[in-house]
Amino acid sequence: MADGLIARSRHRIGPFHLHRPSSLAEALDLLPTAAPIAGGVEWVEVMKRGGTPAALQDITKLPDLATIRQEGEWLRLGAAVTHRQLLIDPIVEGAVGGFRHVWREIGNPRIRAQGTLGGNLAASNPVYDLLPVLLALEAQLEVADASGTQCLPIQALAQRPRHSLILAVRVRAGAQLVFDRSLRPVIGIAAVRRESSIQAAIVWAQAEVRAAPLDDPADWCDQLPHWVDDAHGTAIYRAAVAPVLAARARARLLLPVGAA
Amino acid sequence: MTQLVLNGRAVTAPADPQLLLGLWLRDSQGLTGLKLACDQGVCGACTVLVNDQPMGACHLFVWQVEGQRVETIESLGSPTRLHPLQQAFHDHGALQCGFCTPGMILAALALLRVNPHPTREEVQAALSGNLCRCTGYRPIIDAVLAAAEAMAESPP
Ligand SMILES: Cc1cc2nc3c(=O)[nH]c(=O)nc-3n(C[C@H](O)[C@H](O)[C@H](O)COP(=O)(O)OP(=O)(O)OC[C@H]3O[C@@H](n4cnc5c(N)ncnc54)[C@H](O)[C@@H]3O)c2cc1C
Repeated sequence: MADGLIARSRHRIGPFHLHRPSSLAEALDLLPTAAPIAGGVEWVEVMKRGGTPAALQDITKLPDLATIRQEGEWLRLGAAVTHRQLLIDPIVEGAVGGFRHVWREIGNPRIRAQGTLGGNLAASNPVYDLLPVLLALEAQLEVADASGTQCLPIQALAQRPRHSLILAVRVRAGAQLVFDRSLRPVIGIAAVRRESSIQAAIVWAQAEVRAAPLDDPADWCDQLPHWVDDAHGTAIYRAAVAPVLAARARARLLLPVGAA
Repeated sequence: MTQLVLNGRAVTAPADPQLLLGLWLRDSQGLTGLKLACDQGVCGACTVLVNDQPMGACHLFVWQVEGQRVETIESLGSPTRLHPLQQAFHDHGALQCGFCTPGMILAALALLRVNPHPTREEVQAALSGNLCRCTGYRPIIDAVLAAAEAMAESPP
């Protein structure tokens, strides 16, 4: 059979060494030579294309990595928490109203049961949905490296230290979320209301995902960097649609609670 | 070595970290009901149940299911005594080529275990990650709803 006709399913994955650290210190020592694997959804895809690393470390058994906890007015979501855990844990929906409605559309039930939030963020794929939501939520990132553990604003995700582990995401309770994904993959908007202020992030339409206060849709668009022109849509179309999506998201968030 | 419970039996799988569950089930265990079709987590033909949860065997390593209960379509019914879901799929013309059927039935079984009386919308949501390219979804959803009724009357 010609190469091109061999089913993808016959792709074999090359051997690698698997470490299973049980403490954070052990995991951090291993980081320079063994990258983390959490759900493994991304890794399997990379390895099927021939990118098997020499060693990986399973981080899902590290203390507090797969747990969701309320700490005062903050919610601490461990990095190895799966999409499914986010979806079914009532304290997540309690802290961020509307989250469940959005997250049941992510991937499919199997991906949601395996993929983790840390893996979703670290994959830094611009079409993924978690980063825009966390930006609009003004979340914090808990990261650890050899020099210790620190909390960074979520915008600093890409600037986190080399050889660091994402430990958790922290989200302040008392938010309402809408995420309009109806024009995926051309353009989407994640918007969060806290009391009377709204933060919104645009996705799939900008070189960089960034959130800005959404008081006036036109002003909000002015704060965004440049529109992308690609196979999914033109910059002109995106620039025209963005204020419309923003106005709709704002209107939904300003409805009386329960009506959205 | 990786210990797991496969279709109710304690079994041991090789410890190789690179071993994918789908390939091992098909090639070493002869359980060819699950299919490796898209091989990228989209189509659902490789669905198995891990501790009652539908999982994609094409993107899961064997070591990730250590100590867990794995169920494949082979654990359901027999040609002479079909499981109520299998019977309902048969009765409702819910399959043609049959490629997606093992995944559909396992996804439906997982739903019925936690929600024995689902609404049509709940069935739709539970099967939303399983793609069918010939029958179409209406007879499949009809079959799951009929199986739910049959199972409520006489549990399998
Ligand atoms: C069919 C399909 C549909 C999908 N649909 C969507 C969708 O609609 N929306 C969406 O947002 N995503 C979607 N995804 C992506 C999915 O959410 C991610 O693949 C998943 O969340 C990755 O998590 P993981 O734990 O499996 O990652 P892994 O493969 O374990 O890791 C991914 C990367 O992150 C690194 N990493 C993992 N954890 C950490 C950590 N704690 N600290 C530092 N680095 C870490 C790893 O080293 C690796 O580089 C989809 C994927 C598939 C296959």
